[in-house]
Amino acid sequence: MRLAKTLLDKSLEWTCIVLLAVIAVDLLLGVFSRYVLARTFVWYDEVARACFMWLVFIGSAVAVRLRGHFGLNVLVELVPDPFKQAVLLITPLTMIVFSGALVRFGWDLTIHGASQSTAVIGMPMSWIYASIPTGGLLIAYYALLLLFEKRDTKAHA
Amino acid sequence: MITIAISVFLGLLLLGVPVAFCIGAAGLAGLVWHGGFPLIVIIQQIHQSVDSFVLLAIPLFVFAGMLMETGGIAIRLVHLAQAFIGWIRGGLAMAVVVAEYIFSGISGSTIADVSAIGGTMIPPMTRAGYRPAQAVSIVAAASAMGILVPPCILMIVLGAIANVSVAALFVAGFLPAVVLALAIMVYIYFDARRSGIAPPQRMPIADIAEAFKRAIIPLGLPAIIFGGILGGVVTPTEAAALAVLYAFVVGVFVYREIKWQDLPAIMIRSSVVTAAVCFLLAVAAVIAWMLAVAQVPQAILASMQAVSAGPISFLILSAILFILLGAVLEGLPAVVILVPTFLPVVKQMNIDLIHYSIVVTAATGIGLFLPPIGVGLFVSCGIAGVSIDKASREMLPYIWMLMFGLLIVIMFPWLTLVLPRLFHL
Repeated sequence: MRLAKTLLDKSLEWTCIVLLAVIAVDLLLGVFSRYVLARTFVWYDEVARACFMWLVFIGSAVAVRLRGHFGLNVLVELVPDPFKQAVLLITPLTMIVFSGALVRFGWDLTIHGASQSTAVIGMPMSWIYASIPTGGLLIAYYALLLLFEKRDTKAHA
Repeated sequence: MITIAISVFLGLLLLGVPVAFCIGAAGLAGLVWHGGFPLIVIIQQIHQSVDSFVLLAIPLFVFAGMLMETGGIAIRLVHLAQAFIGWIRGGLAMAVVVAEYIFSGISGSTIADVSAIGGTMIPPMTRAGYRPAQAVSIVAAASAMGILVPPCILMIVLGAIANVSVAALFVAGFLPAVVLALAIMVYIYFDARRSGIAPPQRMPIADIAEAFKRAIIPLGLPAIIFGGILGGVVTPTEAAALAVLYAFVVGVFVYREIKWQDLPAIMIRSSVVTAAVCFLLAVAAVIAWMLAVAQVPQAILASMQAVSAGPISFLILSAILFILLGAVLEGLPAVVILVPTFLPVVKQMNIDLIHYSIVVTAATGIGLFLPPIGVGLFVSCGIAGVSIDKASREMLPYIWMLMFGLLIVIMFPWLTLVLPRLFHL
């Protein structure tokens, strides 16, 4: 169980690393092709944008685990202890509700996008849209972990 | 619809929910309450706002900045700045301001600037006779100014939502940043005189040449970015990719401060920062769309006309609003929700969108360091081990000077617009 969790954590992190590297190399190839080969690779813009969508939504799930999303914690720190436990549950619950919407309606758009394709390389739009429900699912998973994790009241900083 | 959304947003925000999810839940609640729109609108707005070539510059500038974020570069830049102005009274502090001007031309993130410049410069400043709280305030004020020096994440975001050329915004930031830097330096001079800080020795020419030689590699990065953009060779997004390549080669092969095994951690941090910024931007598009559907921009325009406010007073009001919201919310969420709402007013009043974007950027930068709650000020105090209380008092005069500088920028749009026009951007 623990192993499966670590495996997922690591594979998501490596997905981000690969996407970021692909974006950087892809754009450099774009510039290279325009000035050195004098024949611009037509695909570099669409490939980079598709990778970027996935980077943002996979990265958002990783950010939930690493607490990388900005928020105001000042007031929560002032809440007296017995209530604080309850208040700290609100964050994961909100995340689960909103990511539920991302999954539900993101899936609708993905299905809808199967009949559309990008202008240049004809990639199905559903490949791009799919990043939204996937990200939503992963965010919900990490929010669930957050909901059930044992916490001492100081840990949430 | 709007009332429900705003109450949900504020309620969740105060309960410590991350801003992006407050906004998302607020948008969802508003749409469900209204019932007249299909909820798939949420996903369409999210997709439309993130699937953009312009925003691709964000992960790349963040990544390049993190590769260049090593302490060595900050010190080299301060030495260079000292070589030029170090002999004036308060010269060390002024050198920090000048070095920050150059450094934010490398890093793109204000909070990163604070840690890099603050971490390396606060100890030598206190040794030279500056009070710790004074040193903190100088670094904080310089970093607030630095947000105007491109590359700047907020400018990329503004370019995307206001549909303005990011290249033009980047170039437009240079002169206003000089105005703010001068405003801070004037105060540094008088403060240094009052607290009896001796003017440092003039540096011999040989040392100046040496300082310049040591700074050439860090200076190469802004040179590539702006040479490329101003020369019309590359778009800002492509310039960001070149910046990554340069920073990578310098960090791994030239300075060897970055080992291969450090790269995954740096790339994960860059991805998380990118995702946090862009996820927020994506969900905020939903709220901005709701405000537009509810005709809030028209209501604001009508009320501005009712009090017959002109462009200058609208700019001043916006600046005050974004300084306050920048202090509470780190600026970005306020910008992504409110700027689309204000755009119709800006256009109606014939304010140049570039000028407006620069004023908003500067205000957000000042807000980050507004005592006693600005996040940037907290970070700088943390680095120096100074209490926020002490720093707040020393910081106030700098905030006034920054606001004075911003007022000058507001009054003279020429300062923002002359460079973009010169380069036909």
